[in-house]
Amino acid sequence: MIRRIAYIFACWFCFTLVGLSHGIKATRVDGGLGIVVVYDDGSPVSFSEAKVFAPGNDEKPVLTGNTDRNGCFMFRPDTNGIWKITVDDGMGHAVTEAIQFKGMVFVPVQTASTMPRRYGVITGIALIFGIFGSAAFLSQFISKVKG
Amino acid sequence: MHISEGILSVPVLASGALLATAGIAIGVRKMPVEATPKTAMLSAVFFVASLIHIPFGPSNVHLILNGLAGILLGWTIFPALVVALFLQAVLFQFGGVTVLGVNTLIMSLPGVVVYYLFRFSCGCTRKRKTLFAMGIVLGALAVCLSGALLTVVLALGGKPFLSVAGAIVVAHIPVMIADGLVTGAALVFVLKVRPGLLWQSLSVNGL
Repeated sequence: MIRRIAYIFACWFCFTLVGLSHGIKATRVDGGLGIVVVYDDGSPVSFSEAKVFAPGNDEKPVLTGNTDRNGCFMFRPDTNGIWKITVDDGMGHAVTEAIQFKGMVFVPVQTASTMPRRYGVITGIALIFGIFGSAAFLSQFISKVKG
Repeated sequence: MHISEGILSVPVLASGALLATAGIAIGVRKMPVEATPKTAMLSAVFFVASLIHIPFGPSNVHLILNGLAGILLGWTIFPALVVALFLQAVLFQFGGVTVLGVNTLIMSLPGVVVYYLFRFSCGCTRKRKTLFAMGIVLGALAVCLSGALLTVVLALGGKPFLSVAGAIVVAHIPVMIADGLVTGAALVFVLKVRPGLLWQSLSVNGL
C-alpha cells in the first residue's frame, strides 16, 4: 500500500515538474507597425475590427483584432514588404492603409490627400450650383433648338 | 451613413448602380427647368449637412436631411443627391465613386417614400403645428429607412444582419431626432416664406 502511494506521489511530482517546465515569460520589445484611424472630424474609430495582411497576401489576414479607444492598432511585422491594415467600424466606414516595412523603418506607401474642409465646402457648393445651372441652360438650349 | 470603398461585392455594387441610374432617370424626367434652383439648393444643403458630425459612442454619425430633400423634391432627390454624393466622394473621400450608386439609393429611396407619405398624409395642409409634427416624423422616418437599407446592403455584403442592424439603429437615434427637428422647422419656415415651394413639388411629380 505504502509503495503504491509512493508511486502515485512520485508520478504526481514528476508531472508537476513537467508542468512547471511549460511556464511562460514575457520580454519587452520596442518598435512595431501600426495606424491610428480617425473620422474626418478627428474623433477616433474606437474598438473597431482591424485586419492585417502580410506582403503578397491580400486574401487572408495574418492577424485580426480591434483598435483601442484612441483608434490605434499596432503589431510587429516579421518580414519586409508592404503590409496592409484594414479597419472597419462595421457600419459602412472602412479604410485600408498600406505601409512599407524595411527593418525598423516605416514608410507610408499612400496617404489620403484631402482638401481642407473649408475650401472643400465652398468648392462643392459652387460646383453643385454650376452643375445644375449648366444642366438647366443646356436643357433650355436644346428645347429652343428643337422648337 | 456612407458606405466606403472595398466593403461591398461587385454584384451588390452593380445592382445598386443600376437601381440608382433608374431613379436618376425618373428624377431628371420629372425635373422641370424651373425647379433647378430648388434642386441645386437642396443638393447643397445635403452636401453641407453631411459634414456636420455628431460623435456618438464608439461611432460617428452625421446629419442627413434626406427626408427634407425628399418632401421638397420628390423623385428629383435622386439627381440632387447623386451630385452631392459624388462631390463628397471626390473632395472629402466620403464613400467612394464605385459605391456612389448604392449610397445614392440608400439616401434617395427613403426620400421618395417620405415624399409620398407626406403627400398622402398632409395633403395641402397649411397648419403649422401639423406640418411641424409631420416634418419631425417623416424626417426621422427617412433616416430610419436609410438605416434599414444600409443594414440590408451590408448584410448582402456579408456582414451579420442583426448585430449591424442593432448598431446602426442605436447610432442613428440622435440623427433621427436632429433630422426630424430640422425637417419640421424647415417645413414651417418654407410655409411661412414661400408656401408655393411645398406644393410645387407635389404638382411637379404628378400628384
